[in-house]
Amino acid sequence: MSAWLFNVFAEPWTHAYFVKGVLGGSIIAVACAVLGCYIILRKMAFIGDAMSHALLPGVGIGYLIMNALFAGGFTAGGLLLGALIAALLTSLCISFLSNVDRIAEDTAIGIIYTGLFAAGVVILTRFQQYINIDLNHFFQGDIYGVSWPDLWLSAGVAAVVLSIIIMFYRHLTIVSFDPTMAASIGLPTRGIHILLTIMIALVCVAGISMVGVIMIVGLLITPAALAYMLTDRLPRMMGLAALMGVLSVILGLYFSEWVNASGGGSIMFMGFLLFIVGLIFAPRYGLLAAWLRRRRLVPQADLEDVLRSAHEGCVLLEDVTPFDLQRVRKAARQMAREGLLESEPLRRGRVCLTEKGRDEAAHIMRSHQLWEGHLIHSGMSVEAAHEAALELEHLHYRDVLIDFDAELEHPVADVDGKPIPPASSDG
Amino acid sequence: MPGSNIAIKIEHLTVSYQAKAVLVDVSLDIPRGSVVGILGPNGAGKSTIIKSVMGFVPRDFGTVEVFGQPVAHARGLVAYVPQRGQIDWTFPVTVRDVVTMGRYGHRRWYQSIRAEDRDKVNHSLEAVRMTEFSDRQIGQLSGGQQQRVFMARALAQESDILLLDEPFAGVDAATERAIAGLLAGAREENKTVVVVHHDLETAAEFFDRVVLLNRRVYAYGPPREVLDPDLLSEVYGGKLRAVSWAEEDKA
Repeated sequence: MSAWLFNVFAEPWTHAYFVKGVLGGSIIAVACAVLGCYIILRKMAFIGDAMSHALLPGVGIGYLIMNALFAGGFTAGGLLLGALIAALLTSLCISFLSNVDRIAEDTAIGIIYTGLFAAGVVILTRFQQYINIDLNHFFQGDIYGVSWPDLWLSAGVAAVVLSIIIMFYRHLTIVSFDPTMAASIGLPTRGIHILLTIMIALVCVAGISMVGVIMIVGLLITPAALAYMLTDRLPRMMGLAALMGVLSVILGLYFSEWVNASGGGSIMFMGFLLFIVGLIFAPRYGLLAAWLRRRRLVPQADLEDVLRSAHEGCVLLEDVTPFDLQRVRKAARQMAREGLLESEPLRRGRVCLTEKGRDEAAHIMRSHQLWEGHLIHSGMSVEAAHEAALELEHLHYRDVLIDFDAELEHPVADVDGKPIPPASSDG
Repeated sequence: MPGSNIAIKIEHLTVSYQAKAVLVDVSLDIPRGSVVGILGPNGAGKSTIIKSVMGFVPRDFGTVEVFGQPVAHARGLVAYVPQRGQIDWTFPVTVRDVVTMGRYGHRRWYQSIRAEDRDKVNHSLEAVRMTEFSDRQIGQLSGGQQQRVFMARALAQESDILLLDEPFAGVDAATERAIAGLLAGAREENKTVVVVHHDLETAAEFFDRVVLLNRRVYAYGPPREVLDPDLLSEVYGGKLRAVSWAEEDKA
């Protein structure tokens, strides 16, 4: 048994390639996840997409320049320069094309990332002898083949990106949340946008050798999206996203060892599965929680029927009109939870309003009476108006009631002489 | 009138988007310490005026000055309350986070938020009676409460000029009173307030002066003079639903 456990969970750690993979993958996953929070909150996920494709020509050109400058080239320098070129290419192309009248943003992105990628393929194949990039590697990455320089590069990039985010947390947040206000206090919104774009390019270039061009976008978006399902606080969202990113890397690498599949693919596949689990089971915003909420939801009209029936004093459940035992019971239980009904009498089948319930009931009665008055005023018979008002009383928008009140010249009693409660202050 | 008594001076402001005129030759002097409402139909350019005072609008012609300075130099003198529809209410920030943003303009990028800022934030939250909600995420509030959060942020900015875009739209009675109270308070502190407003009935109650706008300024002055039924129907092109007090006036 323990031998089995050892083989499954501990054995992989005896290989340097596995340890290096987990280390490199985790570093890049954390940087991606934290940056990813801003990307999804600013709804710029597509820039990650475009960027990852633009890296191919960017890096190609970067290598060529480094080759021209240094004999034998300078890999890390080529990559970083390539990232900057890619960031520049993407943002210039997107902002230029999205200003052209007939080209929508999605069209622009479709054109740009295929176009730039194609340019990259052309450059790469034409200058094969100078550029040390394997296309297959570019797509899939090779997380088990991470070299020490790759590891250092990604550690450096992650450190820079995380430091910038910590240092400029306030600015990044306010520019993402309310760009108009940010600009009005003199923050350089455009500069901050460019800073984000450059950071995206940097993490992409650092991560591409490990997980490849497509999966790096996943590491940017998926853990952050999952964290967003789980929390309402940005700092917590960033922490959770980082955790989910690292979890994807570790689970993914185990998985790839067990089933002997590609490391990059396994990481993103696990990230995706984690997201699906979160999507369904997230305590507040998950699908399951939403479904339960909907099932528990009592139609407002049912609540208001109970309020109206009991507004003059306690009544039996059976005396609520219109009566439907199941619906009335469900509504009454919900109302007791909300503090509209006394819960003690309800256990004995009696509906008694609390003070809060009486306030609500007064509002409904007022609505009923004003509707009734309005319908009679516009020529309907008293009986018909009474019936219709039972349906229409549920439409008690403040503006509507104010209009009726004015039309009837602020009545104090309804057609049967019953007093109309005054308008509540918080209508 | 000496220049320093004019908070906002707009002269011949003309703005267009893609060959469509939004504002045509708009000139307004808004005195310091006044509460001014901008009224007009949809698409009249009301929000554009507010944005031009923040210096965001590319002008075809004309000038906008804030306390005698061109708008470009006036950053930070102006606090802005956006329309509710412009905000992403699912954004993961709390009420306190949003109000604290009002203090960012007072600190350089390397400075952290100080105790003094926290005091101002608490004070602003208190002023709009939102203290008990300060740890709520902003999406978990009613429409009126959301509006009050942004009012509190504007207060925390301590600017001399407040710009509010439709603060009264779709709020409950309590919030309406809270906003009206804040407008009155701002007036007492000699602040200048410009409000984009849609409800003709309440305009006379809230504002010292109103601007009747539909691309150009039709009238500018005390509400009783400006809200003339004939003028209103000209500006609103007959699309105006019954304005009850205007009818009462006629009767």
